[in-house]
Order: sequence, then structure tokens, then C-alpha cells
Amino acid sequence: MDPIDGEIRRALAVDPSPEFLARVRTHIASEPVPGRRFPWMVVAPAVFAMALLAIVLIVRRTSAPAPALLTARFPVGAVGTMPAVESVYARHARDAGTRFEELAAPKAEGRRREPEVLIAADEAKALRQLILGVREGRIDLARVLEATPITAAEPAPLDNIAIPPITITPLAGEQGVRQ
Amino acid sequence: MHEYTDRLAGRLVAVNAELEQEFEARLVESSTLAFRIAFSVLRHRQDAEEVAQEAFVKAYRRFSQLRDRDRFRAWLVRMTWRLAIDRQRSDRRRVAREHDQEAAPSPTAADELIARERAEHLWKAIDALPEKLRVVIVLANMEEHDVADVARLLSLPPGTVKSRLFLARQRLKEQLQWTQ
Repeated sequence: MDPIDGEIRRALAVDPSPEFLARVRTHIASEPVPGRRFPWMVVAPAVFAMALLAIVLIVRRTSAPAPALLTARFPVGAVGTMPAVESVYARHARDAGTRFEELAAPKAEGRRREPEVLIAADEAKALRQLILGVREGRIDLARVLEATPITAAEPAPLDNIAIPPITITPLAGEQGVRQ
Repeated sequence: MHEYTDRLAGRLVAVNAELEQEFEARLVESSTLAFRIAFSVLRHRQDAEEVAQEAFVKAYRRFSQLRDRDRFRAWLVRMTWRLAIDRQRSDRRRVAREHDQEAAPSPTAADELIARERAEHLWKAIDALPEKLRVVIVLANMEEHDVADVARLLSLPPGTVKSRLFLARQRLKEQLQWTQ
């Protein structure tokens, strides 16, 4: 053994006091038991289950169909005043309404991936009422169309263009004379 | 449901009792080690005991992760060393005193004086070592640790421990001419 090591061992040959262990035990007795993990064993799975449930609910809510529109709640067939023969305007209005509904309530998959189409609430309401009115026969668009008849613009009659005859006046003086 | 919770509670009580028994065994076998490590830095019995006690309390709080004996001792050594260094730095006045009070008692006053002088020189030389050399030379001279033990306690390769031991001894010899 190296003499240095011998010296160090002698210097380190110091033992703790007899009360040392008792003091450590007393101190540790006031500590919470390290293995007492009962609350965590119960709380952790509960928190995990709640988080999982919340995620499932959020996913289901986002993938659920959009709430029914006013037009869907009042089916056209249920209205007694509907004319027996569907007018052309009503058909146009219905098609427009269908397109409008597609715009106003896009499919859930599309809604998640594409930006939402924003339509002013009052404009949407007015448009819905117009479409419903046309479908139910309360509004007749024929008068509106008649009031502003669409006519093809006819060109105004043109006068004949008068082209004066071309006259060539001879040059004054002698011609072909070299100077 | 009640039966399940009762069984679970009973099992947990048994686990707690088992953990406490294991910790008691670790405490008994490692108390001197922790104390001596703290003492090698502080050279003050009471301070060393306080630091060792603090290390054991910390170890107790984390004992569920330190049940393996080797892991526990390695963690305890590092924690005690770190706490002792922190204590030394926070209270420099203690370092200036009590260098030789804890030396082994000598039969005569003359022997005691020589031993004190030697211990004082030795500790001064050890204190002058870089920390990574100091901890290696201290651990190597404690509880019959060999190179492999020190390497395990400090999570170092044995080759690194050997080279640090060599360097530490060399520097100590340079400073302690009286050992030649």
C-alpha cells in the first residue's frame, strides 16, 4: 500500500457518534412514507380516463352533422298552399337554395380541412326567407321579372356614309422641265 | 369495490413496510460511508453528521427509485459529496477550524502533536486537489474500496479512476515531502 493511502485511511478512520443513526431514524420518521403512492395510483388512471373521454367527446362533436336548417324543418310537401305544378322560378329558387345550404352547411370533413365560408347572418336569413317564400308560393317572382324585362339591346339605325368622289387636280405650271 | 380497495390498501401497507425494512438495511450499512465522505470534506464531526443525515433523508424520499443496493450507494456518495461541498462553500469559516480535532487519539502528547501536524498537512494537500481527484482518492481509501468499487460509485470507467488515482497520489507526494 502506498504510504499516502495509509495516511489518508488513518485520517478518515472517524466514525459517527452513536446517536447518529438514532437521529437519522427520528428525522426520517417525520417524513412521509416513500412508498405511499396510493393517491397517485388512483388519481392518475382517473385523470387519464377523463382526458380520454374529453378527447372522444370533442372528436364526436366535431364530426357530428350540422344542425338542421330552417328549410329542412319545414318540408315543402307539408305546406298546403304549394302549387300543384312547380314553377320554373320555384325550381330555380330550390336549386339556389340547395346550393346555398351546401355553402352554409358544408360537409363535416370539408369543414375541418377548408376555411369556413362566412355569410352575413342577416343576408342568409333574408335569402332563406325568400327561398321559402318562393317554395311555398307566397312570393311570386314573375312580377319582379316582368317589371324589369330583359330585352336584347338593338343597335341604333345608322345613316349611310356619304363618301365624296375623289378628284385629282392637275399641278400648276409646266411639267417635266429640267432646270 | 370495497373489497378491492381494502385489498389494494393492504397491499400498499405491505409494500410500505417492505420499503422501510429495505431502507433501514441500507441506512445501517451505509451510514459510516456517508458520514466519512462528508467528514473528508468538512472535517467537522457535527457538520458531517448533519450533511449525512440530510443525504439520507433525500435518499428516503426517493427510495422507490433507489432500491438497488449499488444504485443506492452510488447515489448516496454523490449526494453526500455534493451536499458537503455546498456546506463547505456556504460556511468557509468552518474550514479554517477543527482540522485536527478529529484525528485518532494518540497515547502521548508528543505523538498527538505529531499526528495532528501530519493530519493538518495531509488535509491541506487533499483540499488543494481538484475535486475530481479528491473524491477518487478519498473513496479509494474508504471501506476497502478497490478501483472497480470507486468506478461503480462514481459511474466512471475503471481506467479513468486509475489515472485519477495515480495523478492524485503524485500530487499529494509532491506536496507532502515528509512522507518520503
